[in-house]
Amino acid sequence: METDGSAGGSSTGWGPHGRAIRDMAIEVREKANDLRMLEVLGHWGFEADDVSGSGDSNRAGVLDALGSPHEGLLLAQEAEQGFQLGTEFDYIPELFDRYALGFDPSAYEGMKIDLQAAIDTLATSTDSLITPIRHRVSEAHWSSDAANEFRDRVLDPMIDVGPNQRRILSELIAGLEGHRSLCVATQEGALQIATLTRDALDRAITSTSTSPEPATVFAVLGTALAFGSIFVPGTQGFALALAIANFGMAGSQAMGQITATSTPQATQSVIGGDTAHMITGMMRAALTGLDAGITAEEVHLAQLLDADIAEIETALQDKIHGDHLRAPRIEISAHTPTKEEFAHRD
Amino acid sequence: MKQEKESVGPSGLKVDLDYLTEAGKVLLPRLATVHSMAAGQIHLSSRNDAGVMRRPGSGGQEESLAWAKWRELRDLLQTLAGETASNVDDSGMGLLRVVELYGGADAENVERLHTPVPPVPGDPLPAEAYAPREDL
Repeated sequence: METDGSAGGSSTGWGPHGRAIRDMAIEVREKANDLRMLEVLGHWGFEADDVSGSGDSNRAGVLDALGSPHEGLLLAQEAEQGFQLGTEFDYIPELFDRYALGFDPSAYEGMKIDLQAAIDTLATSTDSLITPIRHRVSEAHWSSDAANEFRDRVLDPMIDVGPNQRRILSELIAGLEGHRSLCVATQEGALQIATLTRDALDRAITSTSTSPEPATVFAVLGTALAFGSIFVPGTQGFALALAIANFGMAGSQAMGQITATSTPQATQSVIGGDTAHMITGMMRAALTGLDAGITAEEVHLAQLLDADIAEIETALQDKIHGDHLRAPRIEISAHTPTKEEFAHRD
Repeated sequence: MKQEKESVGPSGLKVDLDYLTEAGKVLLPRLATVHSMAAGQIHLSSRNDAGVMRRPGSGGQEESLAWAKWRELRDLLQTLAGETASNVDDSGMGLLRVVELYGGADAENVERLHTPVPPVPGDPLPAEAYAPREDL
């Protein structure tokens, strides 16, 4: 078995199922090559039992069983086609490596920890700072036109800034979690496809070696992966949120759509067939379907993130709503601030 | 014990300079620090960028189709948090300027109240009557 040299089970770059995919892909390669050799034997009226020794994967044994003149014909075919019997399906492990490798769940966890720390930090702003600030500059302690402007334009929007930034952080974390789930589902799907292919090849081999007419019938089987929707659509409209003076991102259309509830689902897809080429062809088709599912989910996630960005940028272009996303900026001058100076700086 | 320095004028002007000073010098800068820390923590998340959001099925060789948008949203939020820190800090300085100017105006008024008023022609009172009193 090939490894990356690291000890233990799942390690960086392999994900939870990476090694199992690699191992299963190697089995698929062996089984496919075995079945192909049995098909060649059957073509000339031989059976697996005619091969000496234990292995129907033993190319030398197959050649020996074929004897002259079949051996010569096979060698001539191999020379013409450019590959030897028993190596036709050697590409399969590499085909699955792109699903087995390149997924590092720990990287997602590290980023989530950093972003969660930011959420916790921002929670401090509303919990323990905004309230005393509001008390110090309340009407009971400061009453004037400038005081009113400060409260209306600076302090009141500030109440929403922390919660809104926390919501955006939650969206980022949900995006990470959603993508991590997609990676896990992808590996589960690839492993399932490899396993079903291995089982189909196994049954074909068994059928070939026991049937009076080799390589004709074996069971069709299996289910393959389909992606459930990772993202749950939102229910509230952004236009409504904009109409509310005390703008809150919770009422927006885009925010909160990204959730992480990916669950692979079985489909009607099958992997089966009569020959090694038929079975591996269906395997490749299943992998193509898996790739299409990945693309669809990634595009969907990108669209949701894009909607969040557009929503935030729209809000920022509006003085009032923008101030609920990040604290407003005031001018500081050398005389008593006027109401205009507590208003916005363009 | 907090010292009361509250004043209420006929126009409804009322100000407690101690409270404004505390808000501008302590509380708002502390809030600014919170947002600044959050901006830093958001920035820190980029240290784990390398292995995250690779396109499934690419063997880790390709970026996720969603990665650029995710990063854009994160960078936007980091900017928002940073600007918030800076703006909140400015607001604190604005309050301190208010305190400084209210206090300055008060001191200026004291000085004016101690300035002798020139005698009005025909005033029966002697000029000494308008001189600053030492006992005030």
